[in-house]
Amino acid sequence: MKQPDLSIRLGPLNLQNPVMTASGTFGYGPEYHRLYDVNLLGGIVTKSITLKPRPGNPAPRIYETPSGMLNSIGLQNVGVEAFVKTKLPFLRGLRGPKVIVSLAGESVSEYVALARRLDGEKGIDGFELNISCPNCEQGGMEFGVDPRGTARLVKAVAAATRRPLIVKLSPNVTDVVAIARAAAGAGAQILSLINTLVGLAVDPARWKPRIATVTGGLSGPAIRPVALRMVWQVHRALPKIPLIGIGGILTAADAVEFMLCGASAFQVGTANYVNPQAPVEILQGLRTYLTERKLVSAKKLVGGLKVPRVLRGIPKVVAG
Amino acid sequence: MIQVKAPLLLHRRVAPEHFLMRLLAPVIAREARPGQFLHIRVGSGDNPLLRRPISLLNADRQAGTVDLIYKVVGSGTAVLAKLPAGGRLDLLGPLGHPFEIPGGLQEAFLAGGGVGIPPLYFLAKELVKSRGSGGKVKVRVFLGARTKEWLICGDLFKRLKVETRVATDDGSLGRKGSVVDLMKAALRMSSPRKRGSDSPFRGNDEVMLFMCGPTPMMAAGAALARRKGLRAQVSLEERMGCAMGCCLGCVVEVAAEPASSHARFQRVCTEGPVFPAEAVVWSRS
Repeated sequence: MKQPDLSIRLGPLNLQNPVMTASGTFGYGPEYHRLYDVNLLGGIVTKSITLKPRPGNPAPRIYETPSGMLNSIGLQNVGVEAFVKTKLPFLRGLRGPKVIVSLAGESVSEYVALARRLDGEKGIDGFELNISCPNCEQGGMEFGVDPRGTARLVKAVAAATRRPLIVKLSPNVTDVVAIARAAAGAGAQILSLINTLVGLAVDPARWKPRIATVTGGLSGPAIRPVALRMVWQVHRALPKIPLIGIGGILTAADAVEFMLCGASAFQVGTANYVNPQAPVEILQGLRTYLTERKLVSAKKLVGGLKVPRVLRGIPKVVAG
Repeated sequence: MIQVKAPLLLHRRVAPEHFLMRLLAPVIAREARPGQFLHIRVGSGDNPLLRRPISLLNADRQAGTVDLIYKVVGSGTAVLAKLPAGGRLDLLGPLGHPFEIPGGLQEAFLAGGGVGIPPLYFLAKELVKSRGSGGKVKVRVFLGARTKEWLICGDLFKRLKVETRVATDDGSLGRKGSVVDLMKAALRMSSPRKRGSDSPFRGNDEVMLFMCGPTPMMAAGAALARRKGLRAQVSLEERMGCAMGCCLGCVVEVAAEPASSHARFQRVCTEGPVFPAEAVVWSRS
């Protein structure tokens, strides 16, 4: 039988397949290239870059939780100038994946300056705005939890770059659709969701938090149902905007769940720590899944979730 | 460095809560250096989720095997302890920055406590081997454990025929006290030059201390080494995510370098696990 078509269109971006790696879990590419050819991937999202280098948060920074992990890294990164000099050359040499640079800042002007600085650099296919980092005192999440803040930021960055703009949504909000709508209305061509959920783990013997900043971002399979719900909600409210699903994807079956809920592509994050080959195994698994079901294209999965007719009219999902 | 599903050839208890594993992994055995570790997937599901970093005890290049000793400390290692020999284990490695053996090394002090002892055995074996090639490194080992039955690797060091002293908390084997007590006594005896000086080893590149064990032990050992002017390397442990240098979860604080503000934290998985003792900020213990 003919191989199924894995290519995916994400608004202005054409991906050779829907498998992307999530920001902060994959470095800048060469780290995992030691284990497999990262040219096989559909896309790579870099660790978030800031204007100036950041030392990051004090240790301990991570803690394992049931089917998940908490992290509070604090956007440790080399800063944009060192990124261009030392990290971008490798990414520029890649032939397969779309290279998405994740941008983070503490103010609108910082995001804008970053986008301007990188706009002319070769080897970048798009930006992902990290407006949802839960581990920073300033900025980051404050943009991502308020529709007006989101719109203001996205509009300013969209005006500063010609490159495709992805906005990564925070799950730490009451109404994710409102934020999604604000981002799309302000010029985001693609939305990715979700970032980590704010959580806390405690050491009952020492009466202390398990990570130095007390709270951190929860990732891994533990958050998958929340992520699926949010992807489905946003896809139903804004069916025209392409979505990238993120949240605890370990296997091809997990990825299929996201595509059925409306994601055109997906990002593999924490799974890279569990199984460094996860992205390529998911790619192969997806190919097998489509072949076995005689589906000619991965696009057939997008938004295919079968929902009982009586439930289709409910406009909003309320927690509780 | 590779990821491989390696046959588990041998798996047995060597002390309370301590288990030895022998795995068939020729590529890892060939590449492995003392101080390096493997990142091991426990189970195949998603709970426990993360891999566990475990130091190498030995690598046999001829047989293509690697040995590890781990201690059951939580849910992950508890799952590991139940695996029967004959199965396979998903390994990633060898990883990390190994112990550095300086070219002109004449005398090595190795100080280990508890489950920190295994990487020092691997190092001792390498040092003993280097004797034959004109290196002539004198190896002196200091081991600490709770009691006689909690001591691991004691017999292995004995077979290497290196001078080994033991301290136990209750005095059931060797001296009653700590590894640091053993080191203090030994350092008093062995300051060949400048005897009686406060820091007899200052400027001496021929002697080095290698440590791996509980943080308070290493902090005290590092302080002792600093007082004596003795250069030291320590192998650190931290909860780890990817072990590939990506997640920045396993960092430790190192002495601030004014030139680069982002170098304040270093990764145990990449720049470590072995660090120069003088670079480590010990306050958090």
